[in-house]
Amino acid sequence: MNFSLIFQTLITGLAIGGIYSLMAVGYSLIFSILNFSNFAYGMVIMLASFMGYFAMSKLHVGMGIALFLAMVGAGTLSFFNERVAYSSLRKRHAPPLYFMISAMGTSIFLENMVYATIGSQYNAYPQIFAVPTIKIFGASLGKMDLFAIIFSIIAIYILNYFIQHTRTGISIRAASYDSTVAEINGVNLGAVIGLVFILAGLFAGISGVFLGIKYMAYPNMGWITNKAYVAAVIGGLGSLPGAVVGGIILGVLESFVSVYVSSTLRDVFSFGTLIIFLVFMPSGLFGKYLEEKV
Amino acid sequence: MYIQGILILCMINAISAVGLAVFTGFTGLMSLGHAAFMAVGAYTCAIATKTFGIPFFIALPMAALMAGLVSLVIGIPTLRAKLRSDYFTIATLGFGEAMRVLLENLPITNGARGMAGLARFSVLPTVFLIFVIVVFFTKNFIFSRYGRMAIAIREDHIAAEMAGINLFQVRLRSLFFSAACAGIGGALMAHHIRFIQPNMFTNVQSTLLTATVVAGGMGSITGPIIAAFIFVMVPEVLRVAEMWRLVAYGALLVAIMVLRPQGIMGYREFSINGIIRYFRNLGTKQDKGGTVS
Amino acid sequence: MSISLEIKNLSKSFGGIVAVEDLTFNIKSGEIMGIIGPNGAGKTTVFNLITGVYQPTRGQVIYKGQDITGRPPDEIVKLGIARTFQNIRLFKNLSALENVVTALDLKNPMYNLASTFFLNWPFIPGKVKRGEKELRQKAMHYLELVGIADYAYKQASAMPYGLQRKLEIARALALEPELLLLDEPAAGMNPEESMELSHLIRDIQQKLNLTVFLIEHHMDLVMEICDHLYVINFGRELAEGNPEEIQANPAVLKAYLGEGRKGA
Repeated sequence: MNFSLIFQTLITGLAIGGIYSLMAVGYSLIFSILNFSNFAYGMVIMLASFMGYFAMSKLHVGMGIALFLAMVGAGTLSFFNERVAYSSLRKRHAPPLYFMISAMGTSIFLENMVYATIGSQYNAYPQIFAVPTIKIFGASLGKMDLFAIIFSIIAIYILNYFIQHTRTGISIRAASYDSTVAEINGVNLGAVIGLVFILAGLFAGISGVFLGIKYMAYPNMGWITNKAYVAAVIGGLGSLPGAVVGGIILGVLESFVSVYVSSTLRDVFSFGTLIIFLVFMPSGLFGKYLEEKV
Repeated sequence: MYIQGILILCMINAISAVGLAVFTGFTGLMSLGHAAFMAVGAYTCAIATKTFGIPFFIALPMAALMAGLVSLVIGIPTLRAKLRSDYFTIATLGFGEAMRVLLENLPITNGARGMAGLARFSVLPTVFLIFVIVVFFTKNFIFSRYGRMAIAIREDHIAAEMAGINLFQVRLRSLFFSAACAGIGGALMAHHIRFIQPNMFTNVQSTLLTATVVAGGMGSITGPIIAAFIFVMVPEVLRVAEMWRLVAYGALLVAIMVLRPQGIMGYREFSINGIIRYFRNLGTKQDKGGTVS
Repeated sequence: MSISLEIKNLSKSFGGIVAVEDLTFNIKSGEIMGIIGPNGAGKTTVFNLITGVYQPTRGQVIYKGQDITGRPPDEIVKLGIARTFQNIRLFKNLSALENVVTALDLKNPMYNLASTFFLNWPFIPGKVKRGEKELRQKAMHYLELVGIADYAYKQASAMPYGLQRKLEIARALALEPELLLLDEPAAGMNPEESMELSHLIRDIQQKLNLTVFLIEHHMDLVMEICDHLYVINFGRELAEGNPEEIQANPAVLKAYLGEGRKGA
């Protein structure tokens, strides 16, 4: 066994796993409150990636401002996504199937809007660090990856603090536990859900920019943003710690599969893992699986 | 010739949509992976005819059977586990993606480059005949005790179980049927376009298929057929580019869910009697209006 | 009299919260047994445990000498146990007749999958069409039995509430059960209607030679038709006996009149 290769694989896995975690957190946040899979979320990430790209290459702003703009943009987009596509369904208590169809519709709409207006080409972000990599114990790690990991940890920490310790955060938890009861007890459900979509959008913004820097911005990013669902399912749908852990596990596993098994079968492996978890462990590592009541 | 091409495409889509209507519209589970079954059908038929020289009329049932068998691979574990409907949908999405990646990497499918130069078997009379057969079978299936079980599950799966209906069996049977139809659709598509490639069968394709069923009305067979024709013909007539077509489909899906979730037909069937009844009702309503004023 | 259903030490808890605890009782063949108790006592949970909707945490359910604990609902129905639901569960978009036909399929399979596909041609009478016609006649018979034949072609959800309950009974009867579980069949009915229903249940029970197990809050109905009563409170057995005994039982009176205990 080659130790340095194992270590390098681990580092690479952690770098991508951090971004998966970010994506999964946003996706799981929405799942926890509306209890459905928001397939449009991946396209919000894709658009955030474009926002970051245009901010940096056309407006020539620094990465910090680009990140900020992408977060604001994705937050807004996510908010309107809910208001247009889901809020009326929610008000008439439509079944989850309808939410998912509406989400798929939004997803197709956004993706093809980008194809039709911007085009299908790959857009590379400008170089951010002059020397892009550093060495840790012989393994090379992108400075950008390191920055992304640190930034992700901070963002997730802030989100966790917000949800656990603020009044609004308690409303969110109450609503995700039982939205009807929360509403009876004076939680403004519409406002809380709006806020959750904005928060999820902020995370889409961060992950979109980091993904763009790593893999460029292009409309066909769905294959990678879909990993948000996989990570969230591994961790347990609707669980935020689960999303973080699931993202990291998925990133590391994928990295090992591509190095030691086959890089082309990596995605088959990921989606296979998804199905295995859904079938044998639908509550994931940290989630709760709610059966329908009689 | 051009008109023929459109009609063929309409009917091919309608075949896949009718199959999915049996599954989504009548058992209430949504699949975002049916493009995978189209792909299995397309590749089975293409490999059978091109690589092994098997006659088309044998290869086509093979395609249907193979797609059906593949559906068991995903269907047995997920349906046996009685997953919540949304978890099931996520599983089918993952399955569709995994299948596509697999097709891109198998030697027998010629990888991402796909297979070209397939024979042109999907001519109008053939496609029409198969369309009629599929619709006939579907109608028989739905308006039978088997269809009734599926409908009962859609209406209330707990009451259905307490009526002695085995959820797993009925759902799996519907999935198999829908996958076989999708397989036929895919096979016909392969021998119409005469070229196949894994990226023709993405989750966008799966979603479009579901969109056709939803737009046509869940719980209806004629609705999805009408929707399949509209979805092919309108963009052709308007001659819009593929991506704007998809933009419109996306917006349409959201609009249907928000404004008219029952779709075009919603639990009803299109029939001559229905039209007569509709106009008669229209007449009586006007009569009533007359007496009031 | 032989024993139809035996419940032995049945317990169920949901994530630490005990719903029913250590219930043991028998139902004799051909009797009408009632289970009563204050709201939230766990009566419906008992039904759900018998019919396989929930898995018991402990204990056994034995039907005609056969252990059916933890079997899936559709298998239990096949063995001859049918039920209705407290919160009516009809196939809402189907007609009353179709609701009953759906249940008839279980014991009356008229044709197989192959004939479904290949032997049902337009304008040609065949096995499938004959079978369907026969089922509809049979279904009509069940609707007549509960007195709602006039509503045969009405959409189930559009029927008056009381008749929906009767339709649920008709659907359960179409499963040709030996043991019928009725979950609050008279809920939402006025005293007059519930008396009428009690006669109906008695009639049907005798006509079809059924064993009936019912949950009910209308005490007049319960005392009128039940041969035997089982009383539970907070998921535990409180008393068992014939209606006269139960009416005179101080523990039952206490549970029903409250005496300051919360949740009763």
